[in-house]
Amino acid sequence: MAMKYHLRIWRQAGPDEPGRFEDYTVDNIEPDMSFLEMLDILNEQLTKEGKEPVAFDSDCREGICGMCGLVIDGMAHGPRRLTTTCELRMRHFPDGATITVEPFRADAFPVLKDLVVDRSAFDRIIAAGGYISVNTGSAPDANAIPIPKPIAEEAMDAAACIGCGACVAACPNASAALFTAAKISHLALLPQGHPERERRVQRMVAQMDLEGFGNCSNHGECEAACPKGISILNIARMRREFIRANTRGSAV
Amino acid sequence: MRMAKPKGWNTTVGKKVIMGLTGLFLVLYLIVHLAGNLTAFVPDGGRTMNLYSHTLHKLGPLLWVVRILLLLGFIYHIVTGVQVTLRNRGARANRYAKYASKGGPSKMTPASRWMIITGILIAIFVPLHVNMFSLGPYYETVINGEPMRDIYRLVVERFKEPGVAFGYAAFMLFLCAHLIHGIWSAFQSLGANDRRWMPFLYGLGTVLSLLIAGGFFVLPIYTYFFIPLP
Ligand code: HEM
Ligand code: FES
Repeated sequence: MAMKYHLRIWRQAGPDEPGRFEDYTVDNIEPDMSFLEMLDILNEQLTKEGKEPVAFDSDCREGICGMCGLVIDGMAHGPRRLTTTCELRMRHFPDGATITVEPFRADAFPVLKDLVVDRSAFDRIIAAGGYISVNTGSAPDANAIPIPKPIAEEAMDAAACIGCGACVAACPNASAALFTAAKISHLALLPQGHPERERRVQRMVAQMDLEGFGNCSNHGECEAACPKGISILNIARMRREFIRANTRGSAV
Repeated sequence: MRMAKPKGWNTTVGKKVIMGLTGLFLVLYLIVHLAGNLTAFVPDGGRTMNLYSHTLHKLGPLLWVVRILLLLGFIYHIVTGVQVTLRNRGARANRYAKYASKGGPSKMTPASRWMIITGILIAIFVPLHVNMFSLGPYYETVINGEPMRDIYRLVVERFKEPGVAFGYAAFMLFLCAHLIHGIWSAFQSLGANDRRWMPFLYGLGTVLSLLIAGGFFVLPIYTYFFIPLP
């Protein structure tokens, strides 16, 4: 069964160029194709017509790298929960539907071209403190530091963040609180993360603000959009870490 | 342009801690205020209410301390609320053509989206309210041989005016909306939330806002229909 779709896609030649929606029609789409494969077909079609293909990001195409990310019909990564754009299948869209495709929109994520945005703000938040300092040399023994199972699980849940930016895209305030909180949480929960915990939260929050993300109003849209289902309870944990750091007067 | 590195309570996270603290402080005040107002329901021609109000005013300097703290908390909440909202509006200059929620665990409601609107409506209401009652005409009465302000008379008189009674009640709907998102959100902003507490806090927020706003809502309507002028 081949299906047909009408696409309204955001086209923008460069960061400082004005953008606009363009309408396209794609035919012969199989229900088991992913959303990105559907865009590949559109791009082949555009190339054959001698037109500029639509720029979009992707890498692993199996939901683990965090490169892909489109706002589809107003929802980051499209209408399915716990799904990245690359995992989204065309069977979730009725034949003949008109689908609106936009880039992740946030001033901190400038559009580079069409649907590709610059998410290096996330890298700078990580660089500000999303790490632990260890001596190089022989690796420490695995399991030398016992960690209770529930805590390890919670840290792993936070560490499931693939940094795709859907939380920012879905947030009415374009806040990066869920991303930053996940990165702070998975370290704050573990003993290895404790020595630098005050410094980490101070620096990462400061960097997040410098990048121009909004405040978190606790709408919870980020968790709804997160393909890994990362909980806003991590944001509560980030705030605890933050209050702890600011009431202890630690060096930044 | 290089911006100064935001620090401590000036960061986005810090400002939400301030919103949460000042917000909960105001909620606490509302609960005490409502408890006081409920004395108007005692059918004794205002004896209980006037005695309550009189006792409160006998606190003298302490009452002023509370009033000043309230005013500061209110102003701090408003200023921070406006700053937070302006930053949020400015974080996405290019709006989406289409924007939809995926539902699921989302806590987004019209109440959560319109905090600044319901907040501004409260900010309009409060001075009118203080002006009408605390700063309103001073009627006197004598209870147990002691002269005191007949605040009950003033309240009943005002709430007999339909515009006042129903206008006041209408504002309480905005208060209710503000608190439905505000109360649980304040705990979340203060980091006082985890897996076990989440459902409880969300429920508590809803129930408390309905009780608080409901109490303030019923009083003028009940007075309008059922309490005779003293
Ligand atoms: C009776 C008076 C008020 C009470 C009890 C109250 C209570 C609260 C509470 C508990 C919160 C949640 C704080 C948080 O999310 O951390 C909140 C948020 C908020 N309040 Fe109020 N508030 C009052 C008046 C006002 C006024 C006058 C404004 C005027 C601008 C205002 C604006 C806001 C805004 C904008 C937020 C949301 C901030 C955000 O998006 O994160 N509030 N309020
Ligand atoms: S392309 Fe890697 S997560 Fe979608």
